[in-house]
Amino acid sequence: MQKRWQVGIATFILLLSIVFGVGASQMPSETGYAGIGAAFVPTVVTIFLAAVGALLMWQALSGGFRNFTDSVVGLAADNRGGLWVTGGILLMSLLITKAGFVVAATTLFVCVARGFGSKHTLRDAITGAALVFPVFWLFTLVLDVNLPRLFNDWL
Amino acid sequence: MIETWNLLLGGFGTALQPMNLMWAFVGCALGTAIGVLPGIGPALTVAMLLPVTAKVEPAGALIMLCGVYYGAAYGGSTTSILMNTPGESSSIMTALEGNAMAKHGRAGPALATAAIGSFIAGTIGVILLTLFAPLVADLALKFGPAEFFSLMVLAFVTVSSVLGSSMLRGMVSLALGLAIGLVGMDSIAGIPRYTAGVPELIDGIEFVLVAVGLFAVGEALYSVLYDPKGENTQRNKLTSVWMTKDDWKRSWPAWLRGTAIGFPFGSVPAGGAEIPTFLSYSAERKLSKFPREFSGEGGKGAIEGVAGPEAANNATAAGALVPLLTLGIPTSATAAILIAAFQNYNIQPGPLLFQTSGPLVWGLIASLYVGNVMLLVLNLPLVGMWARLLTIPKPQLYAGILVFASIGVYGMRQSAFDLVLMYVIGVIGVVMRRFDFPVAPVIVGMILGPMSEKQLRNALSIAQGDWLIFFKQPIACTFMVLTIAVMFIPIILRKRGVRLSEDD
Amino acid sequence: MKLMLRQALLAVATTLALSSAALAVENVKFMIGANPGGGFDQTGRGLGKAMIEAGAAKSVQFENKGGAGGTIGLAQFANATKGDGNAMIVTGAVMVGAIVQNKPPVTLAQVTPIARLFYEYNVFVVPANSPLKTMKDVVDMLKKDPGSVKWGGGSRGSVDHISVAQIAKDAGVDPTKINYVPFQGGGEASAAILGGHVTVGTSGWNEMVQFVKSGKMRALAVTSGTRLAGETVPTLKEQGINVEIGNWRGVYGAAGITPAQRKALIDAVVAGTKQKSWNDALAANDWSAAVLTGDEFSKFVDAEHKRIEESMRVVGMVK
Repeated sequence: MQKRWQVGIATFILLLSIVFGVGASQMPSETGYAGIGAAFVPTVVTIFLAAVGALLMWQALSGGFRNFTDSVVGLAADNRGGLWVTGGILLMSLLITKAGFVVAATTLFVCVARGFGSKHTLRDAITGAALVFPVFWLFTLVLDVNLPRLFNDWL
Repeated sequence: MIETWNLLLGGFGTALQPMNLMWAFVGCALGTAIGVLPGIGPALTVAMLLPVTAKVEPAGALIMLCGVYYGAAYGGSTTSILMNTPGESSSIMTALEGNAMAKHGRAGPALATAAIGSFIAGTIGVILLTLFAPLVADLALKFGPAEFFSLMVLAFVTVSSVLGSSMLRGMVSLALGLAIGLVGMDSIAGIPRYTAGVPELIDGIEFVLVAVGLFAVGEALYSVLYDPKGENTQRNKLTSVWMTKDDWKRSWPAWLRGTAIGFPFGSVPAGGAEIPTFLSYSAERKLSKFPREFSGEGGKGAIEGVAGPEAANNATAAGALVPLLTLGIPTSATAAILIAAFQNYNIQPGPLLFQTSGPLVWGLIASLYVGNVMLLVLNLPLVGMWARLLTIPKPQLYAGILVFASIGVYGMRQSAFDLVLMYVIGVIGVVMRRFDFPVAPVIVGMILGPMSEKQLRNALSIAQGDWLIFFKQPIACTFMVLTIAVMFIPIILRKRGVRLSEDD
Repeated sequence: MKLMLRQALLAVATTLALSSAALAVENVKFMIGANPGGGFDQTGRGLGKAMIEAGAAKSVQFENKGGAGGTIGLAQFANATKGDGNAMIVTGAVMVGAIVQNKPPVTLAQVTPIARLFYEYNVFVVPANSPLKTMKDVVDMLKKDPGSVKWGGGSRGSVDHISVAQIAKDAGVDPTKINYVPFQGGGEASAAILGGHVTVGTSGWNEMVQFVKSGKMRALAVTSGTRLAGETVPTLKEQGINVEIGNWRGVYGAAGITPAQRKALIDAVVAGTKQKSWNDALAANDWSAAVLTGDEFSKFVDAEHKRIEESMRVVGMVK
């Protein structure tokens, strides 16, 4: 399991270097007086990515990452909590333009607290709203920044 | 000197008028609040307050706006320390040690050293500004692209201090940051790179988005997945709110070093606050008698790693006023908008400012002294309150952190897409935490990469392709020599049997 | 439902507008495709203030959405305000340049031209201790060795850059051979000029005038057709260089508005430009008034589009 993940990460870095390399090769080669153009630094970064990716792959295949002790051995991931947090963020991004900023951010607060095991949904909603309102008013009333609103500057 | 003193006294006469004191207080309080909120920076705030200049007399308005500018530099450390959510690029280094300290129950001392360090650096900065502004400004102009690039090379080398327990994994993080930094319009050739035709990507990926995603969202997700009950941290056990004698002893030199690094680099055009904080952090790390306490070594957080960068950050803010007042050159976005505020009163900051609007400028400078004291008085009592925030039960604490993170991210561009992007980056952050990849080098790479590329290409264009330019100009050459020294001295020492830190 | 309601309101608004063309625009919503503090922002807020003073608008609202030379704000504006006779977006040469360069899906062609407001002219400067005294000296140096003249200015594709390319072309020097060093923002550019890191610098007159007045820089030429009001700096044309270029700004209305709505907006904007506060803003920023409305404005923008595209092709930025 560990090894598969580590190889996966190394593969990701190597793939990234290929993507960046392809991109760099398509950039205009015009260099002006500097002698280096738009593609120079991307090429350097590509080589850097490829080099660290290859070393990482070597480590992953020859006994795993060095100086690395798995800190969470034995602790199973709490997937339900993760889903609540994920849902909270995604819900906020959906709600924010529809139901306004206050409702969206309060929803996020409730979802995250639920994910971390809070059972007091109503109390969380009140706490969340109490946190969000002053910030909202600071943005809309004092700074005149347009945040999505449900009705007016106050909500 | 006597003349300066008299002018400054006259300035205090202006600054200490009750109305102006009130404006200074409003500015400082608002600035602190803005600094605490990630995503909304001083530049935006000052811009939004610009219309105020139509209603208030010049001294009061400018004093308030400068208060916002200064206050934001104070407040920026708070979220970094408490929530691991750096709201500005200059507080990333603070997040590294400060948050480690907070997790081990030492949020109080971390916040206190940040506040006091900001006060000391800010005050020394203003003294230097009072005495040497014209001289510093002339020196600052000697910085052209070649000098900047050499300085950035030095900053890159010092990045090794944030790489964490494995050099290779640190390098992977750095490479990732450099890659992200490449996305967007190439500022020299004016062509889009790696944007895949998405207009939102033309200006590049916002640093706050990545920082908040990797730091705050990544940590929240990791925590909920692997440690929902909070058994692995002593976050809730507050050991002390105040700094111990030992904390003071370790903070002092760091504050002074941070100031010495921050002020000059704040005054160079195109400087920004990031590089001084990077340099200060790595200086503290290299000089500390307690290298094991640094978070990168798996320690509990070293106080000098908070004290130095925070002092550097505030000294930079003072340094940036040098070219602003003496030359009319803004070195940051906030400074640029401050110039607009001056112009609203038909006052042009620049070479003629001290002659045309002397009393006003001296009033402004005096108000900076006042503002620093005010900010200290305002922020120290808050330390206890902020630190106690961490005793909030974990569900509500992380809920609050994520709400603040999304406010910051959404507030930047008002784009719901950015929230989704923040989540995706957060997931990457979880994987990085799970496999012990440090996250700070990603941000460092993102910031330094584009800056140094731009300076490199401009320098070479000016030198018509001559790479030796970096060794032909004295200031640039000095930085290069310093870089080489930083790189090779540890190797030489190690060969002689002196072991400084372990690598793989 | 929402759409029907909007159409109904639109019909009412149209009849109202037709019945009394001079009626003030109710609540003007400005889209500003840049972050607060910049040129677009100053233009929009200054115009909004003047329109209220003129009684041509009851209230104004501003929305800042910066990025990609204003084209991100433009895309949102075009999609969100269709048929809204109260919405306007601030635009200018910078946005046209960004459209030419990035070819975004939404362009100015989708929205309705209202009016050009003013020009902002550039100045060419050298540090006070430079041996170069006139533009002719610069051009001579350029002809001898194009690479030796290091031009400092704003980003590539900006008015700064294009003006340099046009000077080279006029002097018979290959515009792709200019050594142009782009800086971010006027501050960085003026520092590089003062520090002597570039040979010649160019930026907006307003940004450079203080250095010229204090004797730290010498102004060689302005890019306007005639000398700026009250100033003695000669134009490029006076020095035998046939180049006239400026950074103009103006406003556009929403897509699909009726001719009556368009006329109401034009009237309101023109009324605003006659106010004292607008003239003060022009004077404070050294903007040269150049009001051009309606169809003439749209012809002008088309011509600008072609001209900027041609200039960018010449310097190799677009194919």
